[in-house]
This record gives sequence, C-alpha cells and structure tokens, in this order.
Amino acid sequence: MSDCTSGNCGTCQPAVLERLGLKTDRWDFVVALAGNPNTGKSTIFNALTGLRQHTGNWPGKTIARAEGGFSFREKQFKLVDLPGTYSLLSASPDEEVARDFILFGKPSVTVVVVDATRLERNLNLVLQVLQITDKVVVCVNLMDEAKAHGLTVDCRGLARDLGVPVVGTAARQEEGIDDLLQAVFAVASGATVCNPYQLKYEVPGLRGAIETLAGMLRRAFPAVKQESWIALRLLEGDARIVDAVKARAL
Amino acid sequence: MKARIVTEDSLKHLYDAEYRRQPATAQSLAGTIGVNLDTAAQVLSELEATGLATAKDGGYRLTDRGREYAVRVTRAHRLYETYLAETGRREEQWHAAAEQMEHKITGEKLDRLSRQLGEPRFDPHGDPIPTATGELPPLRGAPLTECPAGWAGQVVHIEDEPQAGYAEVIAAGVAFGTRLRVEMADERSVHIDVEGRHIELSRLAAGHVTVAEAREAFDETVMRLSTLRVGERGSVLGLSPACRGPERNRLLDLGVVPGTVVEIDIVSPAGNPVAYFIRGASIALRNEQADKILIKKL
Amino acid sequence: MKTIEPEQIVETAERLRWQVPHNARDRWVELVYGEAARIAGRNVMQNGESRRLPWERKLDWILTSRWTGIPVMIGLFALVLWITIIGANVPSGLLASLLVDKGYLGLKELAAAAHFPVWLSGLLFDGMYLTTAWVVSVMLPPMAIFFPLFTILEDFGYLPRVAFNLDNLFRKSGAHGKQALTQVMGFGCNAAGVVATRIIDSPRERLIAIITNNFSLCNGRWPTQILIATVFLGSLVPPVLAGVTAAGAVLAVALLGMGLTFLTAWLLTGTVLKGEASTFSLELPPYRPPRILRTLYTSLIDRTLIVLWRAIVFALPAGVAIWLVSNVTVGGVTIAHHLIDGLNPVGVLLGLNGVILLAYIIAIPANEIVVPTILMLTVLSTGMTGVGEQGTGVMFETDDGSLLKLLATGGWTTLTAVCLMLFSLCHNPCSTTIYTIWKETKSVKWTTLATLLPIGFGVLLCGAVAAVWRAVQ
Repeated sequence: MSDCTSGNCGTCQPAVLERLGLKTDRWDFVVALAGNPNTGKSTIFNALTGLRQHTGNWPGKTIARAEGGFSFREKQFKLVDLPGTYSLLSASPDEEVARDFILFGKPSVTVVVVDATRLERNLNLVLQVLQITDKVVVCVNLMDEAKAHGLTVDCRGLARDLGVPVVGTAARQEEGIDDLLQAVFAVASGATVCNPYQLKYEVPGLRGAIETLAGMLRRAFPAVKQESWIALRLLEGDARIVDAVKARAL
Repeated sequence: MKARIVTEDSLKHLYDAEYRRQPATAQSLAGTIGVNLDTAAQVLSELEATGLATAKDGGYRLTDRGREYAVRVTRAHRLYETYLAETGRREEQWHAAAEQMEHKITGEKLDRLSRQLGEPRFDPHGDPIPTATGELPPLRGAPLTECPAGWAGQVVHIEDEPQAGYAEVIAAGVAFGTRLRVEMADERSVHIDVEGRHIELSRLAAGHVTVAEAREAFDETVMRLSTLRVGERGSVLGLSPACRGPERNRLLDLGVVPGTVVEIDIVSPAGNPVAYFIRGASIALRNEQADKILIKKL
Repeated sequence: MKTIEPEQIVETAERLRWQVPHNARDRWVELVYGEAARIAGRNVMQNGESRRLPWERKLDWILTSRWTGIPVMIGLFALVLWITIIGANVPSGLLASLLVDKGYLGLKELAAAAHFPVWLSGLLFDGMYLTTAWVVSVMLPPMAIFFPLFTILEDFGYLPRVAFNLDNLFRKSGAHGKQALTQVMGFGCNAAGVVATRIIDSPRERLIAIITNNFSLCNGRWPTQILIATVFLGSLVPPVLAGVTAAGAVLAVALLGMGLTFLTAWLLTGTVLKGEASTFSLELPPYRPPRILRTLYTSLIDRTLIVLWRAIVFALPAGVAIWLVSNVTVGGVTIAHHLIDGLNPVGVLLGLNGVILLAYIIAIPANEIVVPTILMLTVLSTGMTGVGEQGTGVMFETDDGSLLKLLATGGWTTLTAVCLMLFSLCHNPCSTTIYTIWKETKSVKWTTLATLLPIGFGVLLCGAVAAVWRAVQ
C-alpha cells in the first residue's frame, strides 16, 4: 500500500516526483525536510543520512536541493532537503521550490525543523506547512541551546496544539534522532494519523470570497483537503496554483 | 508609427474621461497628450472617421470598438507601471517608460505579464487595471484640495501628469494607500500628517491626490521604525503603502506584521543598517526599509 | 447537483478578486503569526529575563561597535591571510619538489624506457602533466588552509556581522553587505566566491556580486603580483626598502580591485541592472561554537576539492596547448612565434608585449600558469640558452636575479611590470570561474558581461598608463 515502487501508493505521486527530478525506484518513502534558515536543518539531514553536507551558521545556505537516503526498519527512505525559507507564500524562488515540492510532490512525510530558541517565528512556517499537507512531523531542534538560554519547550503540549507528532532534538549532539526516525516511520506507515491544526481564514473582507471558492473546489475536487488555502492562493492570483486548478493537477 | 501612438494616447484619454464621468473634448485631449488644439481636434475627427469614437453633447465618446482598443492600451500602460514598481524602479521612471511600452506589448505578452505579476488589480497610482474583458470597479474619492482641516482618510489615486506636481507628491512619500490627516489648508498649500511626518504640499501637488474615507480611524501615535532609539520598544502597526513588491513580502515573512514588538539589538558602525530584535531573531534592516515600517512607541 | 468545471472556479476567483481588500496579504500573514505566537506562548517557558546571554551581548559589542568593529575585522582578515601565506609555503614547496621535480623526471625516464616517441612524451608529460602538477602544487595548499579558516569564522557566526559592518559601504554603490564575504572568498578563489554569492537572496545584488568577484585577486594571481613587484619594483629602490615597496605595490593593486568593485557595482546599478528586483535582509544568527574537525572535513570536501578538481580539468587542455604552440612549426617557425609577432603591436600599445598576451590567452584555464608560461615563451622567443634546461614547451622555475636578466633580455621595462600587474587584476576570469558564472546565472548575457567587462577595464587602464608613461618620458 505504501510502496512507491508499485506506482500506486496513496502517499506520494511518483510521476510528479520524477518530474521534480527524483528517481522513484529503490525506496519506499519520500521525506521532505523543510524549515527556517539557520535552524540546523542541514545538521539533521546529515544526522539522518550520514552524508557530510556542509552546514554553515548562515541563513540561506542550502540553495541547491540536497538529497540522501537512509533505511529504517527495513524500509528505504529518500530524504530531500528543501531550501530554508521563512514562509511558503512564494515571495522568492526558494519558497516556491519548497512549496511546490510539498504541495505537488506529496512527500510521504514532511519534517519541519524548528529552532527551539525562536519557536514563535518558526511556528509561522509550521502552520503554513500544515495548511497544505497533513503528513507532518515537527522536529524541535537546538534543544540544548534553548536550555542554555533558560527556555523549556513543552513538546507534548505542542503536539497537542498542532495535531502532529513533535520531537525534540539536539542534532549536533545526535540527541533525539532515534525518536525522530520513529515518528517519521509512524507517520509514513500510517501508524500515526495526523490531525493538523487548521487556521481559521478570518481576514476581514476575504472570508466570503474564500468560502465561495472553497465550496466550488470541494465539489470539483472531492479528494482535495486544502481547499481554503487553494482558494486564498487563487484570490492572490498565484499563477502556479491557477494552472494547477485548470490542469486538474491537485 | 507616430500616428498610431497619438491615436492610442487619445483613446486612453477618452477611456479615462469616461471612467471619471468627465467630458472629453479637443481641449482636454490637447492638455493631456501635449499637442496643440488644432491637432487634437484633427485627431478626434479622425477617430470618428475610423469608427472608434462618436461626437455627442459637445464631447466625444468611445464606440464599442474604440473602447475595446482603449482597454487594451490602458491595460498595457497600467500593467507595465505595476511591473516597474514591483521590480524596484523609482516612481519618476514609471510613467515615461510605460508610455512607450503600452504601444509595444499586446495580446498574449500582456496576459503573460499580468500573470507574472499575480493579476494585479490596481496600478501603483491607484488606477484600476482593466481585466482582459474590460472590467473595472466603481470610481471613488475626492481631491485632497477639497478636504477640510481635521479630515483623515487614505489615498485612493495619484495622478502622474503633469510631472511637476507629481514629483512633489512622490518626494513627500505619499503613495497609493497612504493614510493621512489634513492639519491645515489655506489658499497656497495643504498641510498633512503622513505616518508621523508633517508635510506641506502645494495646492498644485495636492490636486494630484485623490482621497477617500478609510475603514479604520486615523492613528495619532504612528511613527517610523527608523526614529526608534536604543532602549525604546515599539509595536508594529503595519507597512507603509510605499513599501512594495518583493521588499514588502520579505518584511512580512520576517514577521514585521501588526502587533510585533520591536527593539534595537545592535547598531552597525556607520549607523546604517540597524539590527532589530524581531520575534526572537536579530534582523538587520537598512534605514530606508525602517522608514517604511510604521510603529507605535510602547 | 451539477459538476463544476475548474475553469469556472478560476473565473469566479477572477471576479471575486475585485472585492479583496488591498491589504489582504498583510492581514493573512498577521493572522498566521498571531496564531504562532499564541501556540508558542502556551508551550515555551522562559526562566530569567534576557534571551541573549551576557557574553553574547559583549561579543556583539566588540565585533560591531564603531570603535572596535572595523579594527577587529581588519585584524582577523590579516591574520587569516598571514596564516594562509606562511602556512602554504612549506607544503607548496614539498608538493612542487615531489610532483614537479621528482615526479616529472621519473615519468620522463619511464617514457624513455618504454621508447615513447618524443612527441607523445612531450605532449603527455611536458605539456599535460607538468602544467597540472604546477597548478596543484601552487593552488592546493593555500586553498586547503584558507577555506577551512574562512569556514570556521562562518560557522561561529562572525561573517554575518562582517556583512553588517560593511553594508553601508556596499549600499552606497547599490550592492549587498553580504558581498563583503563573497569578495573575501574571491581572494581564495573566484570560482568559490561566485558560488558563495548564493547567500545573497536579492537577484540584482547577487548578479553584481557575481560580475565583480573577479576584482578580488585570487590565489592564482597573488604569486604573479608578488613576483613581479619583488623583481621589478623592489629593484628600483635601495635593498632596505625593497620588501616594503613590493608589498605596498601589491596592496595598491588589491585596493584598486576593491575600488573597481564599487565602481562597477555603481555603474551596473545605474545601467543594465536597473530593472532587476532588489531586497535587503540580513539575519544575525546566534554564536555557535564551531566544530573544528567537522569543519576541516566538510570545507575540504565541498570547497577545496571541488575547486581543485575543476582547475585540474581545465589545466590539462592548457598543458596540451602550451606544448603544441611551442613545438609545432609552420613555415620553419613555431606557432608561438607567429602568434607572438601578431600580438606584439597590441601588447606594446597596452604597455605589455606579445608574449604576455599569448600567455594570458593560453593560460585562460588557470591564472597559476601565467608566469611560468610567460617565462617559457620569453626563452623561446629570444632564443636564449642556459636557462630552463628541460627544453622547449617545458615549464620551469628560476631565481629572482636571473629572472630579471631573462625578462630584460625579452625587452621588459618597469612599464611592462606595472602594466602586467594591472592586467593581472583586470583581465577575463579563468575558465573555471567563467564556467561557474554560467552555471550560477544560466545566462549567456551575464556570463559574457562578467568575462568581457574586466578586460575592458584592463585595456583602458593599461593603455592609459602606457600612454601617460611614454608621454612623460
């Protein structure tokens, strides 16, 4: 069922992934790694794959998309490191790359890496990711740094509020990586079912328009879950989303 | 080629006059496109001869065919101005460049430009951009010169011709969407409060600005982030309308949204840029950017 | 219930867009951040007041204040360069003796033993092998030292502060503060500097940084500068002052490069790059202790070795070209002779000569081989004997004294030396860098501009200097 090689898995879209530059044979799950710049995303990537991608203390390091693989419980995982972005509103090419991959590539799991010392700023991206996919694991990284700054992060409380698994890590010390793998596996295999927190689209003057469009989208594409978000993008005149609706590629 | 440009500019004028419910005459046309009265009259009669316009009640009106043509040229002009604004060109350059490009981009290229810009609805002066089918929203607002002292509202349109008055408006930092309050108005000038700055506009310049009631009340305490001092804290009210395009999106993404608390973290050796503490991170902004972030001191 | 066509949805959206308030996007972002703040507030507990630790504040003050920021920066930069130059000397010498002296002779003997025809052994070993060996021994040690040092500063979080300190300077010429770092990176290698411009997220400023990176003297050009300054300019003054004069001349050229960077940035912003989008934002990340071993490993893998590999790939064909032009004869004379004669009038006009121009054409693949190629071609064209026993088309080293004599025989004057130093700063980027520029911009237009613009400056500068020089004399 969750086997990509058979070409009929319900979690990811082999054809789209191939168009996005990924070969789809040889692994069972595709995991996307998203996050703000400078959250230690590349360190997580290296910890999971054993690769030695350079990790600079510098925002916007990963521009080219890095890929790697790992296996866990006899399943093969493909890990795709998306460019670090502050949001998914496609204000820059990076953001567009990240968003398109999550929205159209439909990875089995999207891991959003957040900085425990700047949770508020990072949750902005998490909430946006939750609008377009429900298979998410939030990785609260830099727990060691948070501790040094006198911060305590309640991961269980976060998981309850966000409706997706939340794992605390300190990737530089390789702490919490096992828990992260467990959580990724659980979501990928369907053992954990996410119930992501949905934003209320309560922008003055926008609500009526979004409801109208969302209603139409629900009827035209019954399988689509992110109709309010798509409606918002249509109202913003997002060319990529307009095309996708026209081509029925949702 | 020259003749076509004159024709197209004239159609644009007729279209704009129709939108503003003002009569289009040889006189108004001559003033707008900068030709003498004889030429203007001649152009109008040519438009009539080719079936693009008809004479009616002492003025000229577009025929359906003429309107279709005018929509295309107006759309090209306003879209291209939007493009220039979104890609960071200075205000003074928009109009002249768009005047040239409106005669060159047509059809599919125009639609592509519109798509690329996210199908914008208004150009940077506040003029509505007609859709490919010619749809437009209703006109609103009144000239700033007619507003009494104490009146507050927001800019809904800025006329970009002639250049002299327009340049003064731009220099004052007034843009489409800017919130302002009239402090005093006399026969020579209009004094306004714009985002915490006091500005005197000549009546000529004020005549370029159309204003309308704003949804929310005018805020007295508004100031610019650039005036915040070390040790003070401010709360963001919003971004100035003069902050556009990628610049605006980037600031929003960084968390510069209403309610965000900001304070100065570090000042660079030259005093520009300044690093502000914004939602848990230290973000360096240049003074020109901080000028466009409106805050309230806490 | 009637089904809905996608086109209908898009049309409805078009119609509804007129009702959407102008600030809808602002409001939407505000809403998301509001929710984020609410959720974060519920799940994060702060013990104590400040989020920044006292030592971080203190360090920030030292590194960015008006009085200490700039001196600390210059000091650190000088230290990095000093460690690089001093540290690279020994391994460079070792590599040269191993690859150039022992390795080359060994290969030649092997070729003789295997009865290789002369042309084959010449092409393979005198041409390809020797050129590549030269590039490796000159290039590898400084890069293996410079890049890790640079990376350690980067990992620690210092480099964003440098960008912060210098942004004012770059802003005035229309560039981005982060360009300070890509220019410094260019001192190591321009190709690496061009790749590093990825940290600049505004398209216009990134293009400026790519196009002007070549004005940072790379480590392939430092040796040329130092050698020529020492041999020619150092010999003009009393021996006590020789060192200072040479160092001053090299520094002047490096500073001229920075000046040209700002000038070019300013010119580009006002002309070809007028319409490109531009934004500025710079996050100052918290300091993080660098992990030295990890840094050494990763910077060796993804900076040093990649750049070195590209340089080798481009040095191989250059070696072939050098050997061919100096050994293949047409009408009784080598191709090199023909080319030198043809280029000489242009060269003289620029205060240079045909040999230097030919060397720059052949040495497009790597700046490191410019000087050896010049020496070799000078020997070839003057028909001198007694230097470079290895034979024609073979690179060799020689000491300062005999170098001066050799070049003087080739018609060199102080003017030639000054113009060569200027031309070394202002000529096309090496082919590795050109290829990298193309890879990064994917644009023939910008690659061509980045390639030709420095030559334009070089021709103007050298031509002007030569004209004034000759007029004064």
